[in-house]
Amino acid sequence: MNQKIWILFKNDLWSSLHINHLFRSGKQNNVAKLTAIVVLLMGILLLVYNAITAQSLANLGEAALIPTYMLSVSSIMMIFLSLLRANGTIFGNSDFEQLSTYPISEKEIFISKLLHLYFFNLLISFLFTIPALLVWAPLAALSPIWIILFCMVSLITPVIPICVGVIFGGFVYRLAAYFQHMNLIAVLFSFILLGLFSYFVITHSNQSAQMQDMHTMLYSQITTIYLPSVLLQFHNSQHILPIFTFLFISCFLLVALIHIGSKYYRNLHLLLIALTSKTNAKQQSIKQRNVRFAIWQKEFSTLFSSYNYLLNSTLGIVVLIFFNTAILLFGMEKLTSALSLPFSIETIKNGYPMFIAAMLLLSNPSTAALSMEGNKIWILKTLPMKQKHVIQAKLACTFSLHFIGFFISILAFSIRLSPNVEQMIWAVIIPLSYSAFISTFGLMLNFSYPYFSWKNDMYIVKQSPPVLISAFTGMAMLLSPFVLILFDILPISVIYLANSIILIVLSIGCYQRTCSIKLV
Amino acid sequence: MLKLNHVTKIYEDGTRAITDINLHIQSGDIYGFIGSNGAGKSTTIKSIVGIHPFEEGEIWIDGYSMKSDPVLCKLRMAFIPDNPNLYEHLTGLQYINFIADIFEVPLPDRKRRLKKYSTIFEMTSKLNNRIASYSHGMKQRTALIAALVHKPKLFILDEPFVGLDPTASFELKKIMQSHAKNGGIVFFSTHVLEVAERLCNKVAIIHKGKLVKNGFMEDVVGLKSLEEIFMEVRYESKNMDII
Repeated sequence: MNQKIWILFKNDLWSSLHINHLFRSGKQNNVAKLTAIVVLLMGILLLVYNAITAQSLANLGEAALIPTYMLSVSSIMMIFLSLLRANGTIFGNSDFEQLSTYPISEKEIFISKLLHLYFFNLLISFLFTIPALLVWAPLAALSPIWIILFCMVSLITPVIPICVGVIFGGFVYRLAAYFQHMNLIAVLFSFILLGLFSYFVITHSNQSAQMQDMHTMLYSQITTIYLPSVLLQFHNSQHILPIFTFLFISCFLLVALIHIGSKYYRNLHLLLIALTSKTNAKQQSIKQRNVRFAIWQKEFSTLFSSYNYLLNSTLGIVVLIFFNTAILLFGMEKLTSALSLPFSIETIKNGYPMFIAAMLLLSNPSTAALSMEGNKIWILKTLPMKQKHVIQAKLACTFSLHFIGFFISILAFSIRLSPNVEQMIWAVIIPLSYSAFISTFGLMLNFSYPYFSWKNDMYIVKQSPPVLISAFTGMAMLLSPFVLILFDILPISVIYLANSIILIVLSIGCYQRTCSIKLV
Repeated sequence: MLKLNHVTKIYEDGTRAITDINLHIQSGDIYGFIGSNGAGKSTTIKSIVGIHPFEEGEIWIDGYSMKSDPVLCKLRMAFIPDNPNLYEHLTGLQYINFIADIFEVPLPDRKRRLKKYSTIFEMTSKLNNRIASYSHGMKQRTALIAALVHKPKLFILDEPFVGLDPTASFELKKIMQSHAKNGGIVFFSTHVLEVAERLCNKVAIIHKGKLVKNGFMEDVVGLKSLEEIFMEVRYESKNMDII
């Protein structure tokens, strides 16, 4: 590999993973260690889950389908990841001007950015392919040639998802550049893309449920959702040619992407710079605002100023808005049949509070709210305001966002699902208590582990310890009552009540702890 | 009045950034803070304005302690950093208005001051643009207007002349002088020794985290220039290191 590309890639990776901090003493070292532990834990969980899935396929007598299934599922996951990351890594990165001054070509910069995406996608790929190989290889008594072929495919699999992510990511930014509120428009376009892709995946994974033959059903699902998987079968020698075809197509796409993308990289960045430097602003008036309101407004403007921050913080809310608008327009029955959801209306009524809560957990700007101040933190530190006001403003920003999703959900729930009083009470209390918990917990983590010297906010909103830990904890807090409900251990009202009380108590504790952490 | 009593700042790794700093700055003073790179100027200033906590000693502003009453202390001061990283997504006007909101400046006052200082710093036509589109000098001017809009008693500036064009530098010097003349305090760090010598009535030289000279300009300088005194301090320190 070209030495310059390697240096750029290494530098990018080092700063995004905070590897240098691992070898330093002090708080930053702890932060890096914590991130490593959380990522490792999540990786192990996914490995175990995938090993169980592969074993289940083997138990169903579908061992031959394991590699195809795992490669396809990992590719779908990588497409999601690439759609979410490509813009932050390649087009929305603030290092363009700095990199432009170095004696390196756009092609080299672009390739180093692709390598960055490839590295993260490859990690995801391994989480699927390693357990697949471990379960499948002994069962099929594979010859070394098949193992080598599978490993080669595993290494190449991330290419197509990266191409999809980069092409659509660039397309989204190019379209958004026509609008004044570029970030907001880019996020909206990204959500539309993600929504369409999710809709496609959901509808096509349920469509062939009526088929009798398990193998045909699974194969049909996989190949419909991810077309390239028709080339990824590992049964006999007839499949060698399709596998090489897959490898060839992937390599060809990569070369084409590098060739076209490296030209587009510079043009798009120049366009974005020109857009931010536009000076035809309107005359504004000034108004006096209350201190709390002023900070709250500033928080919101920070949220809307960053593509990555907005995309990461509003995913759940946007899902709630779209889903509940669809319920309001078409009714729950039509929606469940359109999406082929295997739930009865009564089950949905009982589980709806948890669904709203899950989506609120996905949208948590407070977990990165302090770190997002970045090199502007001196402003908050030198202004004459109580730390409590800053905390409240940051929480209020998250609550305001949650309220939008919560309000429309309650509206759709009460109008279209006609719940009884108890169901209605839980639909209000459960999401509110989860919202209170995740906001205060996320902010507490961010105050405990702030990081201000970032260059690209993607690292703060996607992979900083507070974001990872709060996502992990949120999942655990959601799964524990869910398991209790699933196994019918306690009445649902008891579970909901106990859960709400625990969450509210924890929220109060987190808020008090945050107030006690000195920003200065 | 700004008073630093035995202020010591120790970093996480045990490094002493500043040791036993004592300063007593009174109303009407323009106080220059001189030192080489890494001498401890910015650390001292960041401790005064509340960016860095300090481990030992005490900082008093108008009789209020920075440790126990930080909000009351900060209400009395304005700080301009050497590299004004402002909220780039806001317009200049929105940023200044945000600062005025935090300081609870009444609307008529903020409008009057905004008009006055944006004219002085030639920013009137640019304040409606986003800060992201500003040059370094324009950001510096915006930070200055935001600092002046709440009429602080204590004006603290870290390398204020870096990035300013000659006109803005001239206007800033005039503002500093009139601020001190009206009973305010100006405390600033600089590498431009000629400016410090001409502008300040008091000066402090910091070297390796310790104050080595401190007092009225004429007492510190004597018959020499500030540059000669500064070089003497460095030379003496070098000799001490060799010994």
